[in-house]
Amino acid sequence: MSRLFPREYFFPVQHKALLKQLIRRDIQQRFRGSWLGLGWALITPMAMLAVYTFVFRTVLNARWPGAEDSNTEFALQIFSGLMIFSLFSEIVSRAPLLVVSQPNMVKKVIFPLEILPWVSAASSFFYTMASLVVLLLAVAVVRESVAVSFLAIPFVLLAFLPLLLGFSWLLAALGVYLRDISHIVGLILTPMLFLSPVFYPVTALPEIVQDLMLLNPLTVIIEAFRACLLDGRWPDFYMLTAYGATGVIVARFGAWCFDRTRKGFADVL
Amino acid sequence: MCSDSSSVISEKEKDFPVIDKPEDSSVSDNRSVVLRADGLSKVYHQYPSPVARLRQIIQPENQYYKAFTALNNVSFELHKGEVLGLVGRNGAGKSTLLQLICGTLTPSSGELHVSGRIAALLELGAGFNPEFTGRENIRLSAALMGLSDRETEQRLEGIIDFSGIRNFIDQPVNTYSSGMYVRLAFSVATSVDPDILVIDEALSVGDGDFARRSFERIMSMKEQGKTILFCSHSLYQLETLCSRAIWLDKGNVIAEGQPDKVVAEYQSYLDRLSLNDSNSGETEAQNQSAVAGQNSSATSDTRLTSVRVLSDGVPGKVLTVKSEHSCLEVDISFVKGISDDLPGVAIAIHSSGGQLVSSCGSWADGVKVEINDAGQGRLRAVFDKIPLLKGRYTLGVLLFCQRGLFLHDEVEPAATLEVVQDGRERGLISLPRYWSQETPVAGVSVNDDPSDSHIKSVSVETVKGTSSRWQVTDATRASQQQKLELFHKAFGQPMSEALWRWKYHSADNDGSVVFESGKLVAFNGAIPRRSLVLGRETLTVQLGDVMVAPEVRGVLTRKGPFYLAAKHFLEQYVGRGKTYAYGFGFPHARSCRLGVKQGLYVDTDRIDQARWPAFSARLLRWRAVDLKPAHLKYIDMLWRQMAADVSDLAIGVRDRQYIEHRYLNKPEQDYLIKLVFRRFALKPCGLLVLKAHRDGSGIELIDFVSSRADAPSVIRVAQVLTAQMGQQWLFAWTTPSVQAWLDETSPVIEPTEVVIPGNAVNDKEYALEVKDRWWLTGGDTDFR
Repeated sequence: MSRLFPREYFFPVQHKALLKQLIRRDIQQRFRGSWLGLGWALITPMAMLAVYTFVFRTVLNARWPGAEDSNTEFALQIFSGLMIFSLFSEIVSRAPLLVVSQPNMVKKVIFPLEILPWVSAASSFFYTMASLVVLLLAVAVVRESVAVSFLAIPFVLLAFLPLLLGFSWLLAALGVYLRDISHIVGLILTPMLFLSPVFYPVTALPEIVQDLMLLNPLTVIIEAFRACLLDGRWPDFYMLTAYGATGVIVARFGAWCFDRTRKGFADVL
Repeated sequence: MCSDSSSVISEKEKDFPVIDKPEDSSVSDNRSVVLRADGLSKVYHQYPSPVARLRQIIQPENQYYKAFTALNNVSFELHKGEVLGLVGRNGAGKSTLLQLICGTLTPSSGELHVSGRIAALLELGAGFNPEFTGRENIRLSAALMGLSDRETEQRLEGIIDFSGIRNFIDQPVNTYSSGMYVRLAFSVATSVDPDILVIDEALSVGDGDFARRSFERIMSMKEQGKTILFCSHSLYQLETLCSRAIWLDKGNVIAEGQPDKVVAEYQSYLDRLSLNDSNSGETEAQNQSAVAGQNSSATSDTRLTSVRVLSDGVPGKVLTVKSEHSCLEVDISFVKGISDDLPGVAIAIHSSGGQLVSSCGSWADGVKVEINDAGQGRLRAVFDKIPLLKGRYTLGVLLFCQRGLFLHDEVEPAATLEVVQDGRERGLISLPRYWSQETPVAGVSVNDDPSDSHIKSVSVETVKGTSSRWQVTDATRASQQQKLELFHKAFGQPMSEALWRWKYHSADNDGSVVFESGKLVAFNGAIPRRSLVLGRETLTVQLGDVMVAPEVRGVLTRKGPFYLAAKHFLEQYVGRGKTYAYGFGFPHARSCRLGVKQGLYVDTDRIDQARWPAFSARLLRWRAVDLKPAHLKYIDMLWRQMAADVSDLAIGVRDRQYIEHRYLNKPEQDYLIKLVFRRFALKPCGLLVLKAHRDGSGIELIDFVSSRADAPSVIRVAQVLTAQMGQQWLFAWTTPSVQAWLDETSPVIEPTEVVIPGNAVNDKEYALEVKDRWWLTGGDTDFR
């Protein structure tokens, strides 16, 4: 780890054949043998969406501030927030088990363990893309037009990536030594769903709380995502760049922890 | 700590004789060192919990573990092509050392330098995912070992073939039996073309046939100069394979050096050890029961202690045996375990193709096995005038229980037999026989019945080549001048010595010749050609320059020189298990028809002429560049791409070595060689060899090298080049397999009179395996 951004962590092109195989395997593995296959990648979030819409709209009679008072509009707003949250929760909840679940790769073969977070991130992004296609179609159908600002979505997701990788490296390394980590992560993710602007916009909160919300790593991304997809606004690029840069620092720290502790993996698995 | 460990070593030195390093260190010095271990140690830290391990990382000054030294100060150097064997009892540190070398463990102290790609067989199939199919797991394992996608696709078929489980390859591996699992894993690990192969006890995988094939594969990797490290409890395997051995005990190197010496020391150490163990056990047993003592034995297991194979009194691992002359002796020593019955000894001889040729067992032959008080026995089997015919065989020794049911131990192979013979009999064994004959009375007309004894005796004489008129033999440089003269006479044009040397790769044995009283009257040329046949690297031979002196051309019978020359070469050198697996040539259909009738040849393919109109246009999507020395490196890349598409075909290798020899080094070469690039690509997508057509009516496409997908583009470029050279037509000699690649370029196909025959003399069915699969172009024949 002599260089600032070691290639094997940040640009693992030397393993591109291996990455391709692992990512393909990771995506296939989830649906192997199931009849509906990839369809589940679309059905699961839509079912969740139906439940949330029912609970908030019909039972709690909620209304999305600043948007049209309709079920479909509410669903679009929730779905966009939920998509980002799922991406985050999927990657983060898998992270502590990434190394632990591969004892063979640690002990029996020569394997570049540091690429595992890339694999998990890539397959989660793949599902997110599937949801995104559904969402774009839904926006097009409901509103009969899609704002051109949706072209900024790749930039939003790109700014999100370093942070996700950083968390993955950190949690994957800690997870080997502290097996409780995966339970703790599960415990944190549930409240995070409600503390993130998924079921409400940040603007609906009191101002003092709005600033505090910036401490939640999901806030900036969800707001930027909604802005360019549903509000037709270009996202705050300064904010996103700063966010991405912070993510890179987190990633560097995660990679450092991973590299520092990896030589002990074989001893405890 | 330091003084402590050195005292341990010196103590060991008293116990165990230290064997000097081999004297040949000066020889190995000029080869490159691929692996150097310098004071390698591994201390395992045993932690009470995973958290303690993390604490150790955070606070390295404290000690949260119990230490266990598995490897202590091991140093050695391995040169390219060396084979190192590790021996030692369980827990001696062999596996730890191999794991350190593979990089799955990090050394606690010491340094390790490795250069090259390592393939490890530490645990077979460790990287497999049980829910995925065999094919998917091959892809993943190959990627894990650093192969690119393209390399993987190229080797996939070969891997599947070697594993021998093609029928199950698209089933999830969790449906595999453990034997199938291991076969697949072994096949992948040895197919990735490693520089260093590390094998931990993996040699004895699968059933007998697969075990033999895997052993042979490791032998061939050894011959290719790969560096191999392995440990095995089979000391015979170790002695056969290794060029050096290291004996480890409790993490220390006890002895290092020549494998036979190290193994012998280790074996005697084991024997001493088991003697001590059983002595103590025996006294206890005697105390308990007086009866148990009578069955005194040196070891707990019945096993072979030494197997020596001698041919005419000369011992060795590879023996030259003269068919029907040599006396083969097999000297077998064994010990019987305490609780076992008297054992029986069996000997099995396999052909190089893996077929069991013969076997015998002491119990079946009624031999009463005797042992001494220490349980040791020694048997000697003698095969006088061994009736094996020319070829390569392996001899294995097996130690069974008395009735030949349970296998105690085996040495397979104990020796490789290279059988040579004087006569030309073919087959595996020579059957006991006698001949009789009745000479027909003069004046009585000879019966047409082919079973007539008169005709029989004539044909026997002819086949043996002892007819007084023609003498047929291998062609050598000795008759070179006569060959050139015959060429001039037979074809009406002179052939230069330089061209001949180039054409026949300066080979000493370049075919077969027939002499009539010392004068060369017929020649059948043979040019070796490396080929890929159905995906396997195979040596084939191109037969050509079949020439007969004009004065004896009339004799076209099975006694004539044409027949004798062709038959001699085909019979001796071409076919399954012979020097050349397949033969091919480009004769005129007329000359071939005679050969087919005489049982020499069998039609395997044909040559057509493909014709494309010149295409005058500017190249926009491609560019064609003259081949420069700096480009030569791309040829192998193009050939690899091409080779990936020809797994069901038979094709002459078109790699850099071949292209350079064939087209660049040809004396008076007049080829136009172009590399084809996509307009903005840095690497070429094809190589083209062109030549002015023989009757001046166009350009001949001699050869091309490209993947199947790129082939039509390459042809299109050739059409444009044809137009640029002011010609109307582009021609090519092709087999139908080539045309199948070029369908979309819509060539005009016209039949020619040229056919591709195969060898019908030995095993016709074998030659027919490549029927209609030849991928040949004019470049495979045009030597003018």
